[in-house]
Amino acid sequence: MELVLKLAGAYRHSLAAGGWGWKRLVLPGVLLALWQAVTAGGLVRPILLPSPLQVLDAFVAMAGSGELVTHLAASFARVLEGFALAAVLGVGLGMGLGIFPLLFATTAGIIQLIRPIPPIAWLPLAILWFGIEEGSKVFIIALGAFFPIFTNVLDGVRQTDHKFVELAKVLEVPRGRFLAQVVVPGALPFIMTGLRVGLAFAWMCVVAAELSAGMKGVGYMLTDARALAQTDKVIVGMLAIGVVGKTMDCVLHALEKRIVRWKTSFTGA
Amino acid sequence: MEDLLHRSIGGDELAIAVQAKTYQGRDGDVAALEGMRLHIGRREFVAIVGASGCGKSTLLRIIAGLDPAYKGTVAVRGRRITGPGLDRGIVFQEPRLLPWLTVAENVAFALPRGSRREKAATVAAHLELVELAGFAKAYPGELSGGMAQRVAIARALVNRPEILLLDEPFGALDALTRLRLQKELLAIWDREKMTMVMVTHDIEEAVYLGDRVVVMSERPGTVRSEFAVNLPRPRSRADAAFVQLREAICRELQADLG
Repeated sequence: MELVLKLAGAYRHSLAAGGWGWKRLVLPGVLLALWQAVTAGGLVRPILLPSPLQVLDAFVAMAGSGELVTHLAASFARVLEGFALAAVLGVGLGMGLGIFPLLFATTAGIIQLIRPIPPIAWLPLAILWFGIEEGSKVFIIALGAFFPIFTNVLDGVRQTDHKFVELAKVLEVPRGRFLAQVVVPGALPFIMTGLRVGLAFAWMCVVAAELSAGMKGVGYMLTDARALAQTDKVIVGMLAIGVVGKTMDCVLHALEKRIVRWKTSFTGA
Repeated sequence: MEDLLHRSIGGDELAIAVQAKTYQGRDGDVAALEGMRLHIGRREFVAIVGASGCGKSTLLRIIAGLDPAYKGTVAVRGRRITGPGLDRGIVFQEPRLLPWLTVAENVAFALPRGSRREKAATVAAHLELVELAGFAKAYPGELSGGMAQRVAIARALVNRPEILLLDEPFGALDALTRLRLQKELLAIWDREKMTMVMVTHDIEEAVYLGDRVVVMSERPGTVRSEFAVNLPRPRSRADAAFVQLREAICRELQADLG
């Protein structure tokens, strides 16, 4: 225990020192070593936690047979579809409700009523309405990703700097230019945050939806492997989601940095 | 006696008669201005000094049209102010530049619709006016405080307002930059032949720039006294008459505080 605390302390320290590169690999390396040590020592049964090497073997086999790619591609396509739908609706409605008070007054109640319902609770209805394979899943994903996007975009419009509003008033800036040059750029960091959180939600929803129904996708692969007690395959599936999700988030983050150039973000003290 | 000070150069450009301006505070209404009367002539440079919280910024906001809910009449050439207008430009305490727009785009932000080429020429001319011609493509984050405030001045001037309102525009700048910008502002005032109303808490700045220095009393704000600055420009801050006047205004302000 003491060793772990010490290592954690050293890790924190190295981060605080502003180090990147190899320092990022310290914690994963330690965890991996721990994992290997625990499993190699025979402390846990492989069916509960297979060793890293076993997982690697499973990964190689699944990658080779095309099983992994097939399922991942199916999930990926659903995420993209659902997320795209959510992005369009979330940004559109978030902007709309933020800009037009009448729209807000008439629709905010309904939206706030639907928001607390977990997306997965829609599954029975979604299957009835949109079919068991693609439609229902895309619907669930879109629903799950919509709310973080929508909420952030609305907040982004709401927090438009009052000083800039005043400035636009004094200069009699036309409404279109005010929206394009003040409201939208000001909301951009929020929009990007919303999209990133939305994407993470999309991945959660796709797996949840696939766990309960369907014949394809990472979620299906996970339930299937669990039923056959193939714990190593379960872990491969989980890691695959993590890696793909992280990669997509990186793409969005890079995009955000390019678009929101005027902001320097706080990286910790 | 007071009326003698209301010398107007080319007729009243700005006639201020605010009976009352109140704000809703936590414990009821707070009077910001009361019985505030001031006449400002065309092409006059009026500096308003007063302790912080005396309502001088409120007065400027009323003139800018940002605060139309007041009792009384504030009129530009006889027309009561009910809202903002391009005949009045304003420079705020902070530059208020849009961080995502370049310097040139920030200035163009103020321009009404027009052809692109026409706009570009106007913007370039005004950046030259504030000696920032080389920074058109820079972003506000890359500018120093003084440069940013000069962009704000260029933006306020780009619509050729008849009255330029300045709300402690140099308050946040270092002493050297402040002196330089005061000089530049005076040159612009001279060249553009506009009326300027500046709110400041820097008495020296007020005496250096103003044709007239108005001292406001504390809440509720009203005109306590006015000083005509009959000194030729460019003024020397070390000049005996300058120092005397500065001290007199300083005493007046302190008397109000006392």
